[in-house]
Amino acid sequence: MRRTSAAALCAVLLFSVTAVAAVYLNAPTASRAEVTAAAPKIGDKIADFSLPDAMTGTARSLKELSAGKKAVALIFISTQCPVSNAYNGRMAQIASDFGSKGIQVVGINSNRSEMPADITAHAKANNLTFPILKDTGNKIADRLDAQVTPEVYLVKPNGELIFHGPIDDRQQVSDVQHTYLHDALNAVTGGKSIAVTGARAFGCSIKRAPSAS
Amino acid sequence: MMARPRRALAATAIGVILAAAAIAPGFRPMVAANAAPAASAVNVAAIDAAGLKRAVSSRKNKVVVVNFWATWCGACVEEFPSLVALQKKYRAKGMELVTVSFDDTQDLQTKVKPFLNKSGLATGTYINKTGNDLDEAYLRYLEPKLPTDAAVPLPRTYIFARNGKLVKTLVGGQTAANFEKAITAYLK
Repeated sequence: MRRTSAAALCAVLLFSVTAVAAVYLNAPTASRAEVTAAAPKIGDKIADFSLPDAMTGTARSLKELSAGKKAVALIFISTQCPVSNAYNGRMAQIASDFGSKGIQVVGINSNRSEMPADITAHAKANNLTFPILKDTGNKIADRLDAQVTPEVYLVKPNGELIFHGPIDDRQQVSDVQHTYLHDALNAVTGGKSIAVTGARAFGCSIKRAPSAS
Repeated sequence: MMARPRRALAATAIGVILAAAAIAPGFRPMVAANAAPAASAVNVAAIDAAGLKRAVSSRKNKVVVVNFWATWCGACVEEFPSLVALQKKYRAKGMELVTVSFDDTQDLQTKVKPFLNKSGLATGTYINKTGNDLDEAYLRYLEPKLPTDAAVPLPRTYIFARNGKLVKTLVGGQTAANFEKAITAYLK
């Protein structure tokens, strides 16, 4: 009996300790300021950066990706966010439609829980053939003040920010009224100025790494 | 002779299983589980910015806490039980929780209602008429100074004082302590 009681006691203690730990581990993180840096404004220069390609691990820089292009569309994306996933087809289409016109689409995944293997599998499953960079520690999301997925920053080869906002204004393709990114890309590739350089992006918040403080 | 070691082994195994269950991602303290209403109990009305304005103003002399959330928003799902617990704790003192889901309206029965039922919240529950598309009218009402190109992540929580004035905006996931401090400041 003693051995059984002792084992039962151990079992209860083990459960209790683990349960308490689980409560703390699962507890929401303290509120952190969502705005982590001064948001770049239209016309500001985005400094060059380098991030590893999620598929290959090879470092890709903004400068290299911009070389010979009219603009680079940096799109913060997620593998799990339903809002971002609602745009997979549209992102693939934009990359396809404008790739030959001098536009480089680049995905950036800054979510702490989405690993390169997840990103690679997700890209293959959704025919996302453009480079997707892994922003470990959300350094570039912080630098650009990116908040949600999907969120777009359109940058000229000299680093100038020329559009910031959503891909369009509705998640259901049939409901879309404003094709913001498409219009901006048409302007850039047509040598015209962009009529609407910014709009509000709405989506899943970027899951940032816990702050050191 | 073998019975005791077997019992000890079984007891240990139960402990390990319980411990594993405890560290599983979905584990949460069962604050509201006992109070969860039946599956059909929760009523979720469709709402827009004008409707929300009416919902807030109709709760006269209450501290109204409006929470924008979605089942697809991890931080929203994490903080939601804290708000429900605070609603239970402070309702008698005048707190009124109003939640607006920004899920796709097609997910109302399959995701939103099951989540709300599990949470134990049965009143003040709404779903955005345009689903997971945010109407600018909400922001003109609640955050008129927000730049028109500023991205809007969820969750967002707005606290209205008893006089109906918007007094606090909380952006991003909050701890229970943060919520309680912010809300009780206006319950006095």
